[in-house]
Amino acid sequence: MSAFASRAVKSGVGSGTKGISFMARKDEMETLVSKTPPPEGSKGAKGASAASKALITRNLRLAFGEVASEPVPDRFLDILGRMDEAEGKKQ
Amino acid sequence: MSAALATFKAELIELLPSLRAFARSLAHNPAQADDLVQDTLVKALANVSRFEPGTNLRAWLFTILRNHYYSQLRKSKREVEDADGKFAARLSTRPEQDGSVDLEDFKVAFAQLAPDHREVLTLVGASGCSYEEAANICGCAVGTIKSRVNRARKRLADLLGLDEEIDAMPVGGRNLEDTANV
Repeated sequence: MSAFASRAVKSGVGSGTKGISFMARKDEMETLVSKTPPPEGSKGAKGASAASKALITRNLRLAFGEVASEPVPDRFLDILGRMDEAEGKKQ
Repeated sequence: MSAALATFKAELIELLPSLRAFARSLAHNPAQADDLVQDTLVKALANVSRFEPGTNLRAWLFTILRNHYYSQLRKSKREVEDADGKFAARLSTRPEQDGSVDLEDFKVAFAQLAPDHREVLTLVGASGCSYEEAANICGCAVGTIKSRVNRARKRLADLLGLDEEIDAMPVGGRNLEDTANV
């Protein structure tokens, strides 16, 4: 996760002058920390636009697929192997 | 091993990749996610007699995993909140001019969401669960899942800076009038 975060921070570097990028980030942090929905009447208050929904779904599937395509660690298969042993002892 | 148990095990192995992906969306790091999967497997095997063959094994496993996740979350509430605060301080995403977002930026924003939002988005948006299946896994009404998905999408769109007015976000950051009001 730290790798993702550091990359995101890098993408913020070089956007405008130092002062403006700092303020932009402070503004964003406050938005994040407040965790309150935007005021009624702001654009898209009813929900994400269709384009945003499609973009979100696409990225969700990419992120999910990335993990799901990783090889399954042996330790999980070992646990299932122990199930066979336990079953063998019972019989 | 009985035929039913062999089938159970084969299906379980097939579901491991999506179980890991679901765990990764809840936990904040891969190691914690795999610990969740491991605990889920141990619990599933200990309770295999409670599983009715022919019913939805994916929903059964996802339910075990998310219940275990939330019980752990309650135990370490303070720790998790602190971690979330650190992530929030590091996020600095902006959508590209063509409206697309970088997948890594997307993951950072996704990690900011509350666990119940990450959960429904992953179940419904990524793993292809129906609203009914997601409601079953989360132990709530279908209507609750639907509204939660909508709120989660909206929140994520806000975090990613999507759907903003064009003039509110000039290239290179907000304009001076905006920042003066901060």
